[in-house]
Amino acid sequence: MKLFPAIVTFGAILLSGCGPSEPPTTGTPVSAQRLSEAQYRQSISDIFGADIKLGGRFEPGVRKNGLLAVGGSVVAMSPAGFEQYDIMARAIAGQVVDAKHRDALIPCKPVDATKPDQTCAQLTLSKYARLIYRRPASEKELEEPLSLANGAAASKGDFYAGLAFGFAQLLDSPNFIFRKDVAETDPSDSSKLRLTAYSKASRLSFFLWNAPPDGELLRAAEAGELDRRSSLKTQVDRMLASPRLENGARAFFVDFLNFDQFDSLAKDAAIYPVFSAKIAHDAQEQTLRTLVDLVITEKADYRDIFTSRKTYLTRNLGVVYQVPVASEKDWEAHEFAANDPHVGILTQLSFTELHAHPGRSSSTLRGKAVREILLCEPVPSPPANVNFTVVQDTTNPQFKTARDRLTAHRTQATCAGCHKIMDPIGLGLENFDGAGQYRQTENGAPIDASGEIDGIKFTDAGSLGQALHDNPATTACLADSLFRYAAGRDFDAGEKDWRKWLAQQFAEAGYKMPDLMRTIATSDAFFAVRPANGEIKEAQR
Amino acid sequence: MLSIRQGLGIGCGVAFFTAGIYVAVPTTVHAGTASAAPTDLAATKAKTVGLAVTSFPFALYKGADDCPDGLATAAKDIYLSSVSALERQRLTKPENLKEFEQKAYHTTDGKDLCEVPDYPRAPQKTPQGHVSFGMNLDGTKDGAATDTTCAHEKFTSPDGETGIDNQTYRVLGCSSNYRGFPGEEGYLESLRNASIKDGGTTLLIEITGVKDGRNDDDVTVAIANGSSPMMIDANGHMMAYASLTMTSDTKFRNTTHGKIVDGVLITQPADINLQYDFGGYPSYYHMKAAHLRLKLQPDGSAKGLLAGYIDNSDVDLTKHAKQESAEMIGYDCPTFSQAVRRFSDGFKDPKTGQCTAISAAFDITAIPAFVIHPEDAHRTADAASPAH
Repeated sequence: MKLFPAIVTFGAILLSGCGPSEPPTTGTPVSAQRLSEAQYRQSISDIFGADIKLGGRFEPGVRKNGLLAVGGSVVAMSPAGFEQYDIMARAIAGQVVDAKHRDALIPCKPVDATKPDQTCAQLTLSKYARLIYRRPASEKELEEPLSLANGAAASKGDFYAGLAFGFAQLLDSPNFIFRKDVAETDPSDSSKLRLTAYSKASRLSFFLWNAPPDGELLRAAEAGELDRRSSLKTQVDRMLASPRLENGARAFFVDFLNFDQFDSLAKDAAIYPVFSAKIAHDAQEQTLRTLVDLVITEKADYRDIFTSRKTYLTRNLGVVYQVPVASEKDWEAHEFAANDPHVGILTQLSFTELHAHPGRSSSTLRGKAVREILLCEPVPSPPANVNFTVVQDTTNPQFKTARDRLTAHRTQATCAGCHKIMDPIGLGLENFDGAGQYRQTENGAPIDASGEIDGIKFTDAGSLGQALHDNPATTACLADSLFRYAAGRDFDAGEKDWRKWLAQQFAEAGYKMPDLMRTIATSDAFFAVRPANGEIKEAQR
Repeated sequence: MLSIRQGLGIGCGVAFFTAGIYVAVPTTVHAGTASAAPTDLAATKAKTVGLAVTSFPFALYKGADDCPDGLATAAKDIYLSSVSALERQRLTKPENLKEFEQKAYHTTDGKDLCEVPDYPRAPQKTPQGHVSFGMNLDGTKDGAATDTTCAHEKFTSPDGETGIDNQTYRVLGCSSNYRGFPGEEGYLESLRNASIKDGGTTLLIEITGVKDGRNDDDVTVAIANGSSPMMIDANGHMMAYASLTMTSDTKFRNTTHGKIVDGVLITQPADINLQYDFGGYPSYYHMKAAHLRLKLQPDGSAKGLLAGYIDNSDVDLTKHAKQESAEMIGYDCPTFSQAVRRFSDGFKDPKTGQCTAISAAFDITAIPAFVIHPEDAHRTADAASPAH
């Protein structure tokens, strides 16, 4: 009887090894990714506590091939942008050493608080450098912040004021602001590189938690456990079981669904008085809660996001969806009735109001969003000389509905090619106006929400959702996007087999996203790096 | 158990009359859902209709010739009319304002006029017309005194209904702050209605047990204050289909029964206590034998009257005031107080023979809403909700 657990485990290992093995990947040159605003905030919260306040502004990210995470590895920082980081670093450092926080955060007390204390400063900065840099700092790396702390303490006659300068120096460092991949020679093959264990730890934690590595992950890195597959899986399973996984999933969906565009979303108040900044905020949160609940908490089939009627609402959203919301202040679970037109994320405000014009809906923008975001199929930009007059004039009695206007517009040969891959999808969402409110008519004319996607006909938003649910491109797109998000890079042309393998793994797991995250996080491809310009750099330890 | 009361959700591109402004409201035909037009409610299980009141001014008919004697006068004017022309000229000089107000706002022995409701005064100027909004509350045709009511003159409604009781109209109908100047809403009425939009007052109506939205011989009607403010859109208009919580204070949750006849809700008489914000001060109406008559519109909105007897003290607010403040809103305390008692027509005190309440009617305009009961509104978020 005592052997039974071991036998089961052994059997499981055997079974897990039965599938096709992971195809080789080329990897990418080591790179550095700037922390996103959310990652920066989370890092400060994790290191110093949630009550540390951040001032300053973050420069916007750059979206590359649909993802900010991919753009983050090519983004540059302007002098003004660095100045903002410096402002934040000083503000954070000031709070860390202030009377309110110092007893809890500073691990030692100076012999004399009016003078420099080399021992205490070194102990403090060394401890926090490991958390801030996400790896131990070398003695050389600590020299400058320590010197700054001691010098400032002497000139100001205040150990803590001096220490603040040391903290600011650490927080200003590219080692903190950027997630720097560090590679080392692969001990099993000196012609290859591999990421250092600490770099692996950062990749894992920012992918799965959108946060820096916790103490246990850093310990595992230090012990070399992340270089061993079984230990790596143990750590990944631990991270997948953590409540922080929700944070990681939310960060992915924010990027994947282009929610950064909400920052500049505006609607014409005369046409859509229901729209407000609060509604826009709640709309994003609604979708994020819906997705996290469905694919992370419930571990449902990813494709269900297109057909599920379950969601979360606030009273603000209840007005727009015209359903009751009992809770006054909290979010409330809600399931739309079987005959309610709201089904799946395409009918949620975060999609219908984000992919529309300020004063009218847009079948084209919505169709484009479905193609590019959810199916990973880029749509060419329109030529510069397109005449949009017919489409934009919603008052023309000859073309009362969007379908009428787009049909007229598509008679122009230069437009027809692209519109035919977008409009038939977007027309399925025409029952939702530019602010996402349900409607049955436009200018008094009944709306025909039928359409077609990749040869599959649908009659309304609900059946459009079902068509997407059944479209193999949606799951392949999710798998591709999640890997690109995790690794912060695009695929190489030679990685087709790997992409196919990943999509197959996703399918075999029943399209469960935590399993897909596990597959990626434990894959060789996730950590694969190759020499840049044929050069192999020794790890910076 | 969650007991959400769902409002009517109907119509496409309809317009609700809210606070004097037509507002486009989105369509909401969700075929076969719990939301349905009154006409669609037949042959289905009982539904609940929720409404949020957007305005409730006194129902005051404003005929052109209603006030042939002019508008009701305030204390200063009354005092000036009692002195010589020379004295009038002297008192109205700026340097004599303090003396003027001292004399105008006080009795000859120095008491504030609001403390002396029986101070001798000429009768307040009141409407002389015979047309008014309202309902027949005493059941008589001629307003003759009964065991419980005092004799009064009946009105005929603008659409010809006879036997209307609305003695509050007699009292307020020629007061500029209620009647308003031509083309304007009276100041006090605008103040009370503004409190709805500003979040100071929420009034909710919940009709439950509706089996047929056009004709139903028994429905339950709750008329209550709400504890959550009306929701306002980007243009400052109150939004339909908001979820609004009913007050947990049972004093302001009133329930009665009624029926729906050809789409018009008519309730049985009931005591109705409501609280409202009046320029920042909580104020009350204690209505007795009140009826609600509300036309349920196909678009989910409703319009009608709430009529009943209001305690004299709820109308005669002068006892809580100083003449200086009453003057700002056009009252002379004794004149007004005496008018209220003179015209009060209901709930006769058998000992004194004096009526203690006065017939009144409010214009009710309402938009569809989801009325949430406080026990549901204050529960914690669903346990299944992801923690963030």
